[in-house]
Amino acid sequence: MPRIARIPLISILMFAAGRLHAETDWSLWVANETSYLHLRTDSVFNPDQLFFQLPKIGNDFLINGRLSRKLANNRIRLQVAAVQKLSHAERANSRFLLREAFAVFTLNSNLDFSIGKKLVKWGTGAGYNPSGFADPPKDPQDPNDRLSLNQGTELIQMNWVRGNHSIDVVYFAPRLYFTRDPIRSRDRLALRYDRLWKGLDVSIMGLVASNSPNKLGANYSYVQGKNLELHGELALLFPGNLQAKRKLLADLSISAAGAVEEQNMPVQSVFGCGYTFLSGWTLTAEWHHDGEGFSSVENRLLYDRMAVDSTLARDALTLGDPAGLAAVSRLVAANGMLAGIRQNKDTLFLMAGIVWDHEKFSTQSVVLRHLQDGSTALIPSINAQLNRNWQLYLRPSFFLGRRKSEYGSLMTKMVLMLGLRYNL
Amino acid sequence: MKNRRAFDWMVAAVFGLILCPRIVAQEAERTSAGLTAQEVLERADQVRDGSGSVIVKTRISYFKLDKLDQESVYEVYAKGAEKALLKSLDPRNRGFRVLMLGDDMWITFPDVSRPIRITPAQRLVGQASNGDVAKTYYAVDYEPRLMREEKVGRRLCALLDLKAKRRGATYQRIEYWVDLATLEPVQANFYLASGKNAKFASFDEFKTFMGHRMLARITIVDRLLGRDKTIIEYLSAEPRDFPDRYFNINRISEF
Repeated sequence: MPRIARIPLISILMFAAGRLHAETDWSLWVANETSYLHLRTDSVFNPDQLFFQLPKIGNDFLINGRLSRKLANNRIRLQVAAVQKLSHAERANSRFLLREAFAVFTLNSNLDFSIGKKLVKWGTGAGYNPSGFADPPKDPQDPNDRLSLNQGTELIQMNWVRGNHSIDVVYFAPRLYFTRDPIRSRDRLALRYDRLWKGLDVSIMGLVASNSPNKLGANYSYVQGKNLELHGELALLFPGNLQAKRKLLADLSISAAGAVEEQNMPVQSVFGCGYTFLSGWTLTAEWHHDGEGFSSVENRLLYDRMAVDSTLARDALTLGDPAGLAAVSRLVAANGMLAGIRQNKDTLFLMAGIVWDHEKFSTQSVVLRHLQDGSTALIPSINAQLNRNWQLYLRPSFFLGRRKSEYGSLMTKMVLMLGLRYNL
Repeated sequence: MKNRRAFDWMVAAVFGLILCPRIVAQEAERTSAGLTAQEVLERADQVRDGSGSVIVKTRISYFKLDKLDQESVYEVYAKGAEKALLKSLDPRNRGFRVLMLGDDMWITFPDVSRPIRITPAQRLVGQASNGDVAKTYYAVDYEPRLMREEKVGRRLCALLDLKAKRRGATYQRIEYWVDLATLEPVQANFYLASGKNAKFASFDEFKTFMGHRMLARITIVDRLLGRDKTIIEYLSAEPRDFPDRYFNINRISEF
């Protein structure tokens, strides 16, 4: 079936199914988001756009639908969620994402089983979820996943609930499904115990993985008085992801003695709070520590190497200097591999939001500050509810910092997004 | 352990001796019909019928300068006074849910199974604040005191002064008028901790749902926003037995 044909098909199916039965729950919306990119010419990873020609304007059109239906006196629940995304930058491309497709079977008043592709969320943090072993990857620049592009994981899940106690056992079972993604095809088993006790919601969890670090974690959330919410998460990794880090540093010819720091049990944590002011503003602040990945020393060496390679690569590609060809290959390798390894760092996450005029307008601003290199991402957004169905939003992102810093090394200085959304 | 228990009894006995004469002295004032403030409050609460397990369809209409500005429809699944789940049927908020377990409150968005914790102060923002006016069983959240009897229109009412006794109570104080003939609520003023009169509510209409006479329409005037008003209407109510496990933060998406 041609990809483009899926759009009306999904729309018709979702709309028709939504009319079938009172126990059917559905949502369907379309959105168009236009982006304008202000490019950085001195990025150490892509100097003068030598390797990637980023377009200045892009456009995404999405149809996003979700359908949930209860059967057999609520003992079976089926849910499907999918999105069709049409992107247009230099050329058009179309992508279909099956975000969820699962069935939940209720065996008795305490026990549920789920099977299929499902979105699960265990974390309590607003910007980061280190204890979210079953969660989709979280982007702190877009903590609410505004376009609903997060995908579930193929799993078999048992959930047992009694009173304020809950136990989850999740086997991530990619082998039961067709998948070509080597990262997602890892076998994993995760467990969680959750308890709500006198307003304190606390969970402990563990993860056993076949091809990545095992993890042990805990999280909590609590409301103190009328205005203050407290939350935190902690994850211990056994062992850290040393192999990939060593390989990348070796590929980049970084072999300074002692540069690679051994991390036997890296810690990832987030501690935060939210405060609601009388004016209606809610401010959320989080301190996030990621002990996995490059240390500050390693990271500085990496940026130094990349900066030198950028100059060599520019000469190689513009002047035909053959000595710079090795630098070109190193930069390409770094761009390809860096996505898989994080940076050992501390980040301050701030989010401020308010709704006003009876939810006609809302604003949410996110600030991310890298506490080691001082670089900052600033992402304000404003949303207007034009009427019952139409929403308009404006979302600029600014990336500030020195050339050899996390946000200062990005290929864009600023991205401006203008979105229009129609909820059926 | 035994010593500890004995100590507790001693403390209780001492305080009992001190407080006993005061309790006798503060014998509850009664209305002309012979009811205490607590009895009036409990009877007035019955029009919200917070005892059973019920599903209520609710429409909230917001008027700006007397002109209809917005309208939203919700389903409220309630079990007793402590457990409630609100589900939006509005296109723009479809999949949005609010879970209330006593003082604790969570909201959830579509597609994600774990809800987000929110503070009681966030209930004061947007429509949630009006929902709170409508939901509250005052006898659970507030300590009543009979101020006086007075007429509202042609109806002779008991004016109760309600003081918050729980951490999660949204308003610090409520002035509450209850019709002495029918023991139905008539109107109320809601005060914040700062002493500001935030809202005025009139309980306009009563209908028979599930064989009981119940509140069907409330008009809420936002004192802080001048002439803006909100009308909450209960369109239907039917008994439905929800297992306790449904009111669990891990099962919120099952509704």
